[in-house]
Amino acid sequence: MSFKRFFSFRAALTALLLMLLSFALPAADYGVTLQNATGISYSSDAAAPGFNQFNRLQLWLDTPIGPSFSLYASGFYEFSLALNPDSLTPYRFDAGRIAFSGLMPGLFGASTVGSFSLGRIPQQDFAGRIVSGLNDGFTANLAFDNSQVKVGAAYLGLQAKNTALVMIDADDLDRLSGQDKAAETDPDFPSSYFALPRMFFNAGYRINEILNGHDMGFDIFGQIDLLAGTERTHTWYFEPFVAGRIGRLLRWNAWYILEMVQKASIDTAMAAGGRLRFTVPEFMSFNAALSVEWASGVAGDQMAEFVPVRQSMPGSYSPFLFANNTTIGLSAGLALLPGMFLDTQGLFFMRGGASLPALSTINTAATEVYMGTEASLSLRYIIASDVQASLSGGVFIPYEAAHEAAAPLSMRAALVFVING
Amino acid sequence: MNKVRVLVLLLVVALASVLFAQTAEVVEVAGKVEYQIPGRDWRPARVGDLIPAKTVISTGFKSSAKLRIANSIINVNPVTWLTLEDLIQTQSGSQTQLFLISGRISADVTPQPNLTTDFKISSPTATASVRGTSFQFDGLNLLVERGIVDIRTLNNQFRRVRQGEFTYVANNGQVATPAAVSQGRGFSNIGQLISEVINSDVGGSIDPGLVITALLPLPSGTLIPPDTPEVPEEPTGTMEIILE
Repeated sequence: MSFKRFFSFRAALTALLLMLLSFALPAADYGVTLQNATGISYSSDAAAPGFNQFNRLQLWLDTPIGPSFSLYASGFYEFSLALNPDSLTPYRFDAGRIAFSGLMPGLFGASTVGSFSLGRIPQQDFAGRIVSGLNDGFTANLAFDNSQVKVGAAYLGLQAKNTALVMIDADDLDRLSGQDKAAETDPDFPSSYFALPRMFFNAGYRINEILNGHDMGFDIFGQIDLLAGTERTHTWYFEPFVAGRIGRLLRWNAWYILEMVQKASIDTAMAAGGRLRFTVPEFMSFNAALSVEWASGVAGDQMAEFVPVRQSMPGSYSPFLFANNTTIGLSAGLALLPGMFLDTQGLFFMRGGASLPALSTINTAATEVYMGTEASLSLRYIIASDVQASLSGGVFIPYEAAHEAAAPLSMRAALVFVING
Repeated sequence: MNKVRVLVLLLVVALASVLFAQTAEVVEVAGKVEYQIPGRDWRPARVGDLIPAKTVISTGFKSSAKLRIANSIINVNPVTWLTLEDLIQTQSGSQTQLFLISGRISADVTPQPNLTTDFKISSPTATASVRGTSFQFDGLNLLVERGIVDIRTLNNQFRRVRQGEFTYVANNGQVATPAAVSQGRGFSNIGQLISEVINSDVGGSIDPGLVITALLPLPSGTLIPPDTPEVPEEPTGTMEIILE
């Protein structure tokens, strides 16, 4: 997309928003969210500890438009600084959640409710392992009886490549590393700033309480590669799921994803997972959870590596992506005081299949299944309704036999303040 | 002669099962509480008043009322409008239907031995059906203190909420999977109750992509009593759930 076309699109979008706002502003609610995060990190292979500073100032507006529609818009400025290794991003402006939404009771008969949301909106599959986060598109839902049908679509090419985390084929990896054709011919903003042009569409069905306290459903996603001139990689996903309650204190879910990776040939990949959560609200809001997630790796001609639309990571302090990986997680949380929560989590990483995760430190000669452990602790305090702080830290301990000798042990801690006004 | 006996017997059975109207008794009043019997003017509520079906009850700020209907106690909280739709007693049990126009009520429904208790509270958004229970309901949020409550929205979205659980109706009509919560503070910290539902919702029952602040319109024919403290502009609630 050229500069001119890009900015004329933005101008048209701004004009549309201003027009909508002129009708809506009298009832608008608006505010500012300020986020400050200061972190330190340590890696056993680094000469000195690292330091990170991150700030975000977000403006938001929320207003009903007539009795059936609403508009939420937000945008932010970010500053980030890192030492060891050094990097500085003095400014980054981007859109946050922007949603024009509507609610239509009785859309297809008295007992139906239709709803939609259009803009930069949160979209995700049941497990959040195919796609999650903000996307530029729409979602529509029809609720009837005890069922819901939803459809949606989104375009990925207007998102910053570093936050879109699209890593479907080699073109995406080249774009992420700044080595693609666009970066060579136009190394500056905007063409190499965005993720590659891809879109996805989705549909889903869910029925609530089909069995005693249990819901079932499925999601279908299709991702279309729109980049011309290279081999295109389309991906297709089918994800059935079940979620339910066992008594008052236990919640659980299970899901499975079948993926078809369509290039010159069609490969099959899979992922699956489940979660069991136990809570005792009367005892300091205690909760504990056990989770298991698996994403396939290459296994001969029978199985390909699981490739989501948008990549995600099972942990926060470990380097693994959700691909070719098995993760077992244990977590627990307590409310120490009113508004003060202590959470801890342990994750155990294993291979997802016979092949090895794509990690630079991996020992390709190793046969070990176990890859390492992540442990983390977080203390959150809601100081007031609009002010909260958190102190968190974690460590990744690689299993030496599965990694190269230089595999680093890494630790990170951060203090975060968030103020809403 | 036999025919006469049979007819008499049928008449007795018919009389035994006939419906008869029930009333709600005002057992406590605090502050400004008014009610309007259909076709009559608004009048202040007093302890001992017997209120028939179809009556609208209104409480002002810092005002509340307690009603007894059969074996059930209804606490009408401040700034609440409530219509007593049906109050019916039969030989086989009681049938009570309330319509919560706005505000919040809590109810303690005690089942009568060997009798059915059909107790429903509707709002413009959802209906809570009660089965021998104690609970709080404001039309969108439901906290069950004892027993079981079935909550059903106008488009038939349904959840069964058990003792010690809380749920809410998102304004796109979805009902969240109920979560176990600490009941000590009731609705006093609704944000914390909703947070617990979100945290424990391993089933993703509320679609994060559908965050809507638009409001369901008032049902037509809603009565607005004269001299009633502030009429809420958005009687079905303005709750916004943001999941990012």
